[in-house]
Amino acid sequence: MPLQQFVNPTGGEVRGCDAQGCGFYGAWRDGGARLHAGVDIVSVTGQGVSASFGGTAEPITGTISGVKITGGPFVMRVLYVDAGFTGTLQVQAGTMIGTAQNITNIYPGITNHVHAELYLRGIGNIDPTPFIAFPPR
Amino acid sequence: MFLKDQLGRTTYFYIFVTLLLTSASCSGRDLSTPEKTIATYYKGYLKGDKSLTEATLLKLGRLEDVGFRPPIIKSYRVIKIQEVIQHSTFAEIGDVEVVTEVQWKTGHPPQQFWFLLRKSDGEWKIAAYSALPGKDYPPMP
Repeated sequence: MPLQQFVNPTGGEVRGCDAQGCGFYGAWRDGGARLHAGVDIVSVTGQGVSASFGGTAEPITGTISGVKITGGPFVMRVLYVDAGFTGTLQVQAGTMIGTAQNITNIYPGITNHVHAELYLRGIGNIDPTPFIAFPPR
Repeated sequence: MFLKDQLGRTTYFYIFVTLLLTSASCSGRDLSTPEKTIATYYKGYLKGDKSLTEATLLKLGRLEDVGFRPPIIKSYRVIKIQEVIQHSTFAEIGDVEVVTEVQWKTGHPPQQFWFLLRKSDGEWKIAAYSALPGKDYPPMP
């Protein structure tokens, strides 16, 4: 059975490696103390960010802001995004949920990106890369 | 005739090796020790030479252009270096861990980075690396 295909939130590629580290799922974080639980998708500051699948969206606030989308068996957290709404929002795949932040202000030498983290109910964190449609290289 | 051919081949071989060594030395690529590999990694960033930095990475995928032109790193120093003595998810015994501190040209506060180096085909290469969180740098998701 083919994997369900999600909308790519920015349409960008997977972030490669740069001065701050690498963007693929499972890359090292914090000196190898933990592994990257999502995939970084290259973005342009201020560009619209789309919901990957339909469901209920709600803003994530705190040190790192973004949007959480819950739909069917999936939960996705998309970070480094300024949510374009408050409260909750019913979305379909492709609905604009916010805009991409400029994170080079925080981390010099980083490739601007949004971080997409996927959870499957009953399983936990899974690699979102095979689910997302990335542009051909 | 045979001797002449042999001499010719030998001469060409030595010229080839000399050119190869000269080219490696001119490019600044030296991966002979973990410290020199780290120096080569940063030399690429300091000179805006992406291919030099790329040469230090062991199967890490593509290196993004950001940070090379214009170069954003002002200087770096090694603040810790130690051999790995215990296997972990990603490290093998014999690997070497290095921690550096970078000064940025961008005006950002100094930042620390961790590298895991592994010997491969006689060269020390960077098998993994990441930023280290600090008071000015929140942990990256």
